[in-house]
Amino acid sequence: MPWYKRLMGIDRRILYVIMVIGISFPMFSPIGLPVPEDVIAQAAYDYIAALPAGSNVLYSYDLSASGMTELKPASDVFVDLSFQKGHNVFLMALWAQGNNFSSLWADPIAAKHGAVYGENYINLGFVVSFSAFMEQSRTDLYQAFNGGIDKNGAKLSDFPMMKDVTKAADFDAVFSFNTGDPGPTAWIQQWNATEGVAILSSCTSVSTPTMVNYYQSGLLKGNVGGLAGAAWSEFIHGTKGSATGGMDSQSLGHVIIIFFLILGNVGYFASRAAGDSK
Amino acid sequence: MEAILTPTLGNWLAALITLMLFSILYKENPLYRIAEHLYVGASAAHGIITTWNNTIKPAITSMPTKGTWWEIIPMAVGLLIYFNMYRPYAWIARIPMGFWIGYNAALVLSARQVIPFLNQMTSAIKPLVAMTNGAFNLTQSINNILFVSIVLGVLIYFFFTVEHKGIFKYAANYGRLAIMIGFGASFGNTVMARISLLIGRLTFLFGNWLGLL
Repeated sequence: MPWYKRLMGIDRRILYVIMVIGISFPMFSPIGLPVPEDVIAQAAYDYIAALPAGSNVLYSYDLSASGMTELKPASDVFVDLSFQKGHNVFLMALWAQGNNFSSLWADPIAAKHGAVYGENYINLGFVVSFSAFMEQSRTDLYQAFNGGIDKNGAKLSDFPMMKDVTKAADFDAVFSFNTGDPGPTAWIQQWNATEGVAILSSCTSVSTPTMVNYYQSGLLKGNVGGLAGAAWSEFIHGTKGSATGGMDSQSLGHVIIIFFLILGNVGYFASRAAGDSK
Repeated sequence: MEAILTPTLGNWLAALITLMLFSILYKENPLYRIAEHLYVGASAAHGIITTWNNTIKPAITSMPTKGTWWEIIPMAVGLLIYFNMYRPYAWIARIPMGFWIGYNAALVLSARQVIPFLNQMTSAIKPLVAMTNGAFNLTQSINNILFVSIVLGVLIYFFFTVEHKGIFKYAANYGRLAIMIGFGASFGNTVMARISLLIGRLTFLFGNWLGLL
């Protein structure tokens, strides 16, 4: 069998094993590659950091479990930043699974800052129909949140931090951690377009090109795109979290893919040159 | 659930299901199918329970105190959707479906949905000679020229009223090239996302499960 045919016929399972080894290697022996600058993630960080103490920032967990690796680091950074700056932190979810992550990820950070539930932060829970929620919340926020209750079923009107927050326009910013729709697009179309609320996003790498469009047209104030954006956020926040650690693996994974792409192309063109393109 | 699933048992369960899912990389097998069905079932169950606890249950229990008995009407209309399962009366399911489609169509077609679209259109109009603090900015100018020319090229590529001949042919080819570069960037991002998923699982397997990290 000619060499180029062997090259093109490598068993994909061998490639998988090489990929796993390549990605695992930096986990045991970190390389410490530099984190590339991300100006759009920087814009998101700067925007939240510039909000004065007492600002109402809504963090919406619009994600499924598949987004854990890419979105948790951003949640860790930005929720921490909000507590540092003395913002009123509101948590909610447009996705059912996001309802779990809002507590799992944000509660430990609130505890670290000694934040008091209902005074410094609150979890508004999951809303089923995002379109109905966004429409109603423009005028009656309490009713929009499941008839006026938080995630645990307590009355919103009983919490001090909810006294001055009765409609969408009372929020200074919405930050959506998202793996799809409903996510930033819905927030932009409803809360930004009509109420002028600033929208920010942390998305998976797949959605990053769409979010860049929104950022360039001013619809998003910033976006943390995938693990790379999260790693930059960790860098400027002065923390070394899972995103920074994961970037070595990410880079090595890309090198392996590029290497095999080149090999495949060499095999393909060699077979064409030999008049055997099939 | 939390009382039964200690962290160790939970980790073991998660690790075994992860490995069962990874087994598809070797070849199709029953273990993968079991894990796949478990995931779909667990996700559906989680969605139902969350919706029940967060929305339906509070709505029902608050009816006596709030006096919002009228909410029974939309609930009953919503339940009509289940007639879909009984063929002779399946047409009744079209009533809630009609409400739902009508409601969402009205929301989507409202004027405010146009605002983000207009924003994107206006942001595509950029000065070809960019000035920063009164001085000519070469980098920004090149960036803007590229941006505007690519927008025009891509629009021409999708403009089928005029045959792609002469200058239109070159412009359309330029647009096609830009689209291909865009797809390449999107593919790169997709690869990055998939690698991130693998990193997450491997970190879990080596760290949380095996304690090697």
